[in-house]
Amino acid sequence: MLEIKNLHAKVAQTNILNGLSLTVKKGEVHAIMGPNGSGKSTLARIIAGYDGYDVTEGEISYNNKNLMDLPPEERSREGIFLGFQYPVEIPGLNNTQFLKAALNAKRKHLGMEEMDAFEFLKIARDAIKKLEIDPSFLNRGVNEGFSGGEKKRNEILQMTILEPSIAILDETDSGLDIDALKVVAKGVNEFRNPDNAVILVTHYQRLLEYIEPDKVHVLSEGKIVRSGDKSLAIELEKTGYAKEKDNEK
Amino acid sequence: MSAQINFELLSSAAKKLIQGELSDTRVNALSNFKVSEMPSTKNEEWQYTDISNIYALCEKSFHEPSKEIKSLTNKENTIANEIDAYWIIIKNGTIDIMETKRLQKIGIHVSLLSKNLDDTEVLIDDSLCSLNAALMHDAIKITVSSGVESDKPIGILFENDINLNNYVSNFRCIIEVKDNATVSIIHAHTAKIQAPHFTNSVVQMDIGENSHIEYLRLQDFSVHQTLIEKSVANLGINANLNYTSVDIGAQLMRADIVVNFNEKHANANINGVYIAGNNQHIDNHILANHFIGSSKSSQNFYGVIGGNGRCVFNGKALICEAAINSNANQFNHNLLISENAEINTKPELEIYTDDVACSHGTTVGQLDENALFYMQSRGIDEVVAQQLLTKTFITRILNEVNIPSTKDFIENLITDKLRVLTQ
Repeated sequence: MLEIKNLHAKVAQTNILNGLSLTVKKGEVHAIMGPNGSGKSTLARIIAGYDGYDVTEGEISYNNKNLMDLPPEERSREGIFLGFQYPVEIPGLNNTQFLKAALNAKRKHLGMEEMDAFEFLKIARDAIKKLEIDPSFLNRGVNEGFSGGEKKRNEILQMTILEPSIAILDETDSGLDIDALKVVAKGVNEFRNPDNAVILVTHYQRLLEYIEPDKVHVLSEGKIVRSGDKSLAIELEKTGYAKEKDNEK
Repeated sequence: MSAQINFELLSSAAKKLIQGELSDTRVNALSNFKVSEMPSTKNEEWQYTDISNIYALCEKSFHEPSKEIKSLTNKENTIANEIDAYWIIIKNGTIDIMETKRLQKIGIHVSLLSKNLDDTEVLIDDSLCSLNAALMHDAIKITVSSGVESDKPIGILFENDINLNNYVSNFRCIIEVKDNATVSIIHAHTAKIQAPHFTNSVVQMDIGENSHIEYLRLQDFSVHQTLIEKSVANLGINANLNYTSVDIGAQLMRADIVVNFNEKHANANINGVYIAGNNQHIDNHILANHFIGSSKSSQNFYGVIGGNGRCVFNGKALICEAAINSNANQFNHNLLISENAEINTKPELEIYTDDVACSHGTTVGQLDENALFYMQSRGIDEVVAQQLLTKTFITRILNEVNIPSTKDFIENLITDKLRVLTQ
């Protein structure tokens, strides 16, 4: 489904990704772990199409298409979803209006009929109920005045409504208390199925107690230095990342 | 002395217009014009706004004065069809009698000024205002009786008829609201002319004790037109003015909005939105005169400027010595969506007393790239995302307009304009 080969990227003169390769198949959940500054968020944002990085080498293909040729909006409509580490506040733009515009952009792209307000509200209400979100959410501005936990739940709400093929969740667990973490995990577990895939970008093993990954990768200095199953995450929690850096050297 | 407009020509144009003895008002206006300076960029208040193009238009109009009056009012294809209101359409010095009769029934009296000019106090101060008084042809007075609560807004639309005068229109609207009345007014500058044209407009408002006025000025002129408008509002005890301007069109637009707090406990919100694109210049000068205490003025203007558009904001509050416990603020926020867009912004406070609460601020910026990427990452086209973000920025202040019937109209106006600007 997603294949990244030898990806190199930099910002200004600083190299951030140094030959990263990763293959994600349908039905899989991958966890990408690593210390601050290892390039986790850069990878997530490059997959989603952020143009603030200079990709100097390598390729990303998605369902056998060259992803790098597509602008962010087309990647989204093709089924790529990025759950932001810091969801953006857009004061004054109504959440419902935003979500409906997003869903209809995708439906239009897929040749489906656009949804009217009534149909959309039904879907949105079902989703917020499942995610234990306050219904007033829909009438507020996008992330406007939301707490950290509310913003992350809003990301999961968007994922649930947009039904992407691959969801990259960039530190969706950070800043969440245990109850919010469970709600987020529940959303992801209900989302995952044999036809889609999830990439969890995280610092901590904590989230992986609730969402069981098929594969765990350790990212250090811009490339994957180790891969394994979920037991790797548990090991990392005990030993920290320093050892991985040493191994690499 | 107004060097740029020939006084003799102006004077004879006024005489031709009236076809008889000039009224005292017009004589005063002419003599005041003779001794006052026309605005020029040498004057601080006009340093960013060059109106020299209007002098040539004025001269031309003196040589080719008004033709026969024959046209009647017509509601077809105008804003009057889209917004439900009591529309007073002024065209070639005539108004629709049916509508004025309807207004009369609810206690609102509308009359044409041209005939009984000297019975009304006509504001004559600066040169443009004097020019207006000397030559005004389409002028009305609206009197709202005590205690009237209008069920619908009153719409004012001056319909330019280019067959009548090719170059210049002098409109004046005098609004007198007695005590304890509540009324909404929509002042529309939406009659487009596809040729160089100068509209010189003056609005005088007297708002009585405990009265509340919602005032909305909509300007969507063609890019050949120039509008200069002076609005002066005098507020009585506990009077409330909620003023909003929406400027979308015109090649050159200059608004001077003056609010005089002559009595205590009055409140004025003066808000505005302006969107300027290529070859457009929009200038808003606001002055809140707090002559007496316990009054509140609040100015909030939001602008979006694209192409080589240029805008000016000067929001000032003058707090006089007697104006203890005044509350005044001025804010101006701008979004520049092109490299050549320009804003000259200055919130200003002049305070001559203690014990006041005043604040001001201004921002100039571009669209938030993170917000754009966020929207794009949800499948929304870049251009649509830009339009949505821009519209969101501007419509925040439009939520303060309490005339629900105008909401869709303004929204469409803004959406269409932003579509042109962001393409």
